[in-house]
Amino acid sequence: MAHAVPRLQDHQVEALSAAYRSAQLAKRRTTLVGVLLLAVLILLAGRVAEVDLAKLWGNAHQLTSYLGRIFYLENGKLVFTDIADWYWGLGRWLSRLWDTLLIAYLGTLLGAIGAFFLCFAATVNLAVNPAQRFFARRFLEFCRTVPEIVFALIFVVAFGLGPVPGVIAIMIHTVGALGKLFAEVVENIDMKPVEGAIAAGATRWQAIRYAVVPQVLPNFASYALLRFEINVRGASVMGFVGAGGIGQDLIEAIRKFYYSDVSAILLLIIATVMIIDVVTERIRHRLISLEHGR
Amino acid sequence: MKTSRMFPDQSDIRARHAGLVSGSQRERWLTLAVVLALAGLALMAVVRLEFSFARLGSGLVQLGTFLGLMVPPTPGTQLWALLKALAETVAIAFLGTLLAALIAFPLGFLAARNTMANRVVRFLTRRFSDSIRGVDTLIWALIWINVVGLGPFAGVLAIMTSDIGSFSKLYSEAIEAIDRKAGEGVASTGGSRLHAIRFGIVPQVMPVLISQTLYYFESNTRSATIIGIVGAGGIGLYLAETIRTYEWDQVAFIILMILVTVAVIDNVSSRLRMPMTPPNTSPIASHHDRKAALALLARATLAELADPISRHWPALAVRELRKPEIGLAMLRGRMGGDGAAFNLGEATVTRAVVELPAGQRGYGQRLGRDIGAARLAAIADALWQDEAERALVERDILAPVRERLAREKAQARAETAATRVDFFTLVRGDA
Repeated sequence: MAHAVPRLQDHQVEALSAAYRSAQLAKRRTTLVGVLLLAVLILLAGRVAEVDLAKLWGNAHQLTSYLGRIFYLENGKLVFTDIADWYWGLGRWLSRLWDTLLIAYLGTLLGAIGAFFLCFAATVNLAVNPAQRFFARRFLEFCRTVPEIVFALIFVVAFGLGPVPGVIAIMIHTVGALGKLFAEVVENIDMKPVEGAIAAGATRWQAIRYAVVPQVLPNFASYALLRFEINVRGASVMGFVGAGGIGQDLIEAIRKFYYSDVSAILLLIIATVMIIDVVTERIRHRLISLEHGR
Repeated sequence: MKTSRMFPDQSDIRARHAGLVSGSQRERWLTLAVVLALAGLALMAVVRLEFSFARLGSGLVQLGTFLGLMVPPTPGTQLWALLKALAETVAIAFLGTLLAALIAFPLGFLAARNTMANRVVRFLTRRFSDSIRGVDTLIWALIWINVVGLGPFAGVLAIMTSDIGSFSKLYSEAIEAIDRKAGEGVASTGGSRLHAIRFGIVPQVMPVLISQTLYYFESNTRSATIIGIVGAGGIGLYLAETIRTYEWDQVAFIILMILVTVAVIDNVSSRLRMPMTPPNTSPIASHHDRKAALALLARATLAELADPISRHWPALAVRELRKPEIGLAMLRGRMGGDGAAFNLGEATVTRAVVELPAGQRGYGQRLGRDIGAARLAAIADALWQDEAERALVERDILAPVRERLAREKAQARAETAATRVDFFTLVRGDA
């Protein structure tokens, strides 16, 4: 090539490399300060949380031995050698697992219905007034910040032991979590159909029914399915506080050291969650492609 | 009726456009079937789970009594213990999240398609993280209690374990979503695979990973409040205890404490998640202004450039690094709902590069074949880079161009507005 590569003059090079050096130094300093801060926080948190590495190290073999023990039957044989003995309570567990699924289902359904009616009040574009929006948002926040198991603890006292408090607890948490997601979906809609419906004399709920719902339904359904999957996981521990489902058998097995039962129930739960994971993901992909296809 | 006057043939329209008015028959049946199935399952659940109005009614009455007893919330005699437990809760969430992030970081690379070519390793890593995720934090807490005993340490380990699953999934998704060009660039200059990951991928994914981890820290604070229920430390222990002993005023106080803590952490983490803007000292900071200046210079006419330059800088020794040359540039447009790119056509472009004695280099590019204007624009750009001359360039070259462009735009708008048809008025006019 005939073009000579033009070189920067020395004082320019110097100025630029000085700028580079100082920028690099500043970045290194920020990183160092961040690392130091993090280290201090870790030490502080470690003290407060009573982290005892010696104890962890000393007892680490217990985790492996525990994980090992849950895979042995009472008679000292590996669980896989005698499936019938391992899953002796299969019928009972499956029935409890079905309960768990129904708790999650009913909680999700009722919660999604509640979230549907509340979400419009929490949006910027469809709330009647700012006061309504403020209260709707605070209410949804409250519902999703209090963990569902805390609601379950309280409801067990009020409604008595059994799946009823579990369903209500999951429902309330779902209202909060889905209400927020639904509101975000509604805020992203195309407002032209709404304006059209209102210009033609529709009331607020008529406008929502004919102009908003068709736009948001696939997204709403997809989020509700995602929530169902999360709620199945949540419902599996509702039994810990006496709110029904498979959790009751699991905590009993763990507390009373029925080792092989622990592994049997855990595997059942994991398999169920995975199957639901896969199935809901399939349906969600179809729903989302449905929306993009329109 | 008023409507019938406006649409005299409503039934006729309905008959002609049946498909539009009532939707397809198949779709209707499908909707009905889905709704019926959902309702049927719900009904079955209600029966099986022993819901009854009597039970719900008495429960709600009880709940009302509890709510009454909850006001006013008080810490009782254990304010200090509660605060300590709250600190413990936050510490559990913090350490658990951090440890999980550290462990999940390599796992994320092992599970991502573009960093791990081995399918078996990928499959095993994914199934491993899936099975960990399938087990709730509370169950992990129970298991860890068997290992390290009751107390907050078990909580830290429980949060860590259940987060490893979520993080390695999220991280691998983030890694798969990156732009692979950076990694390819590193590899093409002779970097090894690890170099490509370190310098091509890590800088891209780091901000995403950090923001996801911070988000989880916030949700883990929520989880950490409940693992105390099974004895793994934190405020949950007190919460479960006060509920079991019906001390509702203290229950309310603890719930309020949790709400405030979660809100504070929410706030802090969302602030940290905001991209940090670099301080305004680097040479890059002036790029924005320079871009604006170059855009104006490209639209300036020959006279607008030549007059001020010959007036203020009559004896400028300019070295031409690249003589003005004319070429073609492909113009790309975007259109349609999805913004797909298409090639609109080629345009003639003239460009020039000059250097001033002090060393600044100026670039001039413009549509058309005006060689002189391109060269002058390059000179003006070079002058603009000199801090001493910038004000003069801004005042005598850029400002007039900016004004002229604004004037032309306003005129075009006025002309367009004059011919606008207000369709709304047209429709409503004869009603």
